[in-house]
Amino acid sequence: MTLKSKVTPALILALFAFAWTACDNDDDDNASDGKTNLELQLTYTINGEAYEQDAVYDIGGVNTSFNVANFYISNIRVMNEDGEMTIFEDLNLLATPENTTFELGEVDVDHYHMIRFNIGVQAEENNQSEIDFTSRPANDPLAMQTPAMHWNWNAGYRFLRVDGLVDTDGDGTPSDVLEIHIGTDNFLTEAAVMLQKDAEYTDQNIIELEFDIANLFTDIDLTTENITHTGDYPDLAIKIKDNIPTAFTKK
Amino acid sequence: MDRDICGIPIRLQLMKQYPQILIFLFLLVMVCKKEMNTQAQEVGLKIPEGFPLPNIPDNNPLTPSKIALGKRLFYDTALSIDSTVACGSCHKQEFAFADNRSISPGIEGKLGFRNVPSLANVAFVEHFNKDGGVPTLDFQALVPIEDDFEMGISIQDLAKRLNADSSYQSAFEYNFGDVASPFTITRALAAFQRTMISGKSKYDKVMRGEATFSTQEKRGYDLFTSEKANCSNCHSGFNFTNGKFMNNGLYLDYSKDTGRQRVTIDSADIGKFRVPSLRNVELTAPYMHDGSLASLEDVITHYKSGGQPHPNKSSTLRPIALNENETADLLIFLKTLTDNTFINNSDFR
Repeated sequence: MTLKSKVTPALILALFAFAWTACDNDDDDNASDGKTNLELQLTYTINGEAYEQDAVYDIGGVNTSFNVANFYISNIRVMNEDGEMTIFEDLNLLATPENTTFELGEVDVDHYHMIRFNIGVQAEENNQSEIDFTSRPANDPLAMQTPAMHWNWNAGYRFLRVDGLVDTDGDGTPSDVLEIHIGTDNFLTEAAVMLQKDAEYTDQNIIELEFDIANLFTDIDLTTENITHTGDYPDLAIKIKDNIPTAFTKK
Repeated sequence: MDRDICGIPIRLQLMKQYPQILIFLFLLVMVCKKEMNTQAQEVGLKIPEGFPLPNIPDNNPLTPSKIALGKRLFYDTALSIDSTVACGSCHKQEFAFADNRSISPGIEGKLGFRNVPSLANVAFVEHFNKDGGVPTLDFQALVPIEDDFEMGISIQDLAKRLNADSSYQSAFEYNFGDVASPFTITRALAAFQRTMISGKSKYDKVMRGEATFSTQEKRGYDLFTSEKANCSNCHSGFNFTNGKFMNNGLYLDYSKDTGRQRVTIDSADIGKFRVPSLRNVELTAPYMHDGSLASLEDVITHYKSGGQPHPNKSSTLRPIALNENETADLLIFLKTLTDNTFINNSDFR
C-alpha cells in the first residue's frame, strides 16, 4: 500500500467527522450555549369571548363596543424556579388587537414560573428628555402612532388607550363616547402572571397570555364613568390602573 | 457630577484640588459662548445685553433658510384640518404674539380653555404650556397643531399635506435633507419662534443707560421691586418671570382647569400655572391663564386683594395696601416693558 492509499481513507474519515460535527451545530445552534428564544403572544378577549372590533358586549350590565384597545408593555421579566430574573431591557412593545405576537429575545433553557411586565412606558422614555416621539424612526413603537399613543399636551405616552361607545341611556345601543386614556409616570402599572413554562431547545417557546378587556372595568359603572384622560378624571383612572393586572391571565 | 459646563460633567471637589481646572473651564465657557454667539449672529439674532444665550439644541441649529421655512409654516392656514387657522391667527405680532381675546377660537370657532400666551422671548422658556407639560420648544408646536380645539390635524396627516406641495418639499429637503415630518415641521417652527426676542423696551434702554425713567416710571419701578408690592418676587430676572408654577389665588375652585395638576396628577399642584413674563404686558390683555381679567388695572386689583384663600395659593401673596397714586405708578412702569421695535419688526411678518 502506497502512502497515498494510506492517507486518502484517513482524510475522508476526518472530513466526515468534521462534517458530522458541523451538521450537528447547524441543527441546534443554541443548544451548545444553553440558550433559546422566547416569544410573547397575546389573545384579546372580552368576558372570555373573542374580541371583535365594534361588536357589542355586556360590560357590567352596560352594552359597550370598542374600536381601539392598545397598550404599551415594557420592563418584561421572566423568573425561574430559583427566583432569578431574565430582563428584556430596552424592549417597548405596542399591543393592539392586530399586533399580538412579539419576539422577546434569548433566555436560558430553563423552567420559568412567572412573567412580570409593566403596562406603560418607563419614565426615562415617557418624559421625552433624551429622544422624543417626533425623533424616533417610524418602525419604533415609541414613534408617533395612528391612532395616537402620545399625548402632545404633556409630552408623554398614553400607556393604555381604550376607545369605543357605551350605552349610557339604557336603550341598548352604545352611542356615547368611551375614552379611557391612562398615562403619566405614576400610572405605570405592573402585572404578573404565573407561567410554569419550560423554555426548551425548540424554535418556538411561546408565552401565551390572555388580555380580557372586560376585567379593566370591574366595579366601574360605564353609564357614568366612561371618560378619563387620567389628569381630568383621576379617580376613574386609578380604578382602571388597579384593574389592569387582573386583565392578564395565562392562556 | 456636580455641574455641567458646555456639556462636560464637572466635579466641584476636583476644582478645589486643582485650581487650574477653573482656568480651563473659563476658557471653555468663553469658546462655547463665542460659538453660540456666532450661530446667533449668523442668523441675525442679536441677544440683548443682560440676556443669557438661548438654548439652541444641537439637532436643530438655526439657519436663515430654516427660520424662513418656520415663518412660512407659522402663517400658513394649511396647518389646520380645514385650512382656516394658522399659528399666526392667534399669536399676533401687534399683541406681542399673544391675542386680545380671552379664549381664541380654533377650527370651526371651537373654544379651548386657556388664554393665548405671548411668544416674546420663548427661546428662553424652560417648560412649555401654562402647566409645563412640554419640556422643549422643539416639539411644542404639536400641541396646537393636534389639539381638537385649535388646529385639529394629526401631524402625520399634516406632513402628508405639506409633502404634496413641491415648494414645501424642496424647502424641507434643503433644510433637513428630509421630507416634512413630525420632526422637521416642529423644528422649523421652533427655529422661527426662537428669533422672537424682545429686549428693546424703554425699561431695557434705561437699564443700559440709554434712557431714563420719568419720575412716575421710577416710582413705579421702585414699587415693583419693593417688598411692599412684592411683584419682582415672582416676576424676576431679565424676562420678568421666575419660571415657576404658582397658584395666585385667582379662584377657590379650579375644576375648569386644574393647571399643573393635569400633568403631575398631584393635588398640591391644583391651580398652579407657569408665572408669565411681563414683557410687553401692556399689549397682552386679557390676563390670567383663562383671560378672565380684562385689564392691567383688574390684575393689580386682584393682587391688592391678596387673592382667594385656595390651599395651594402661594404664601408670597398677601393683601397689598396700594393707594391710587401708587397703583398708577405701577401701571406706568409696566408700560415701560412695551417693545415697539419687536411688534413692528418686519422680520416676523
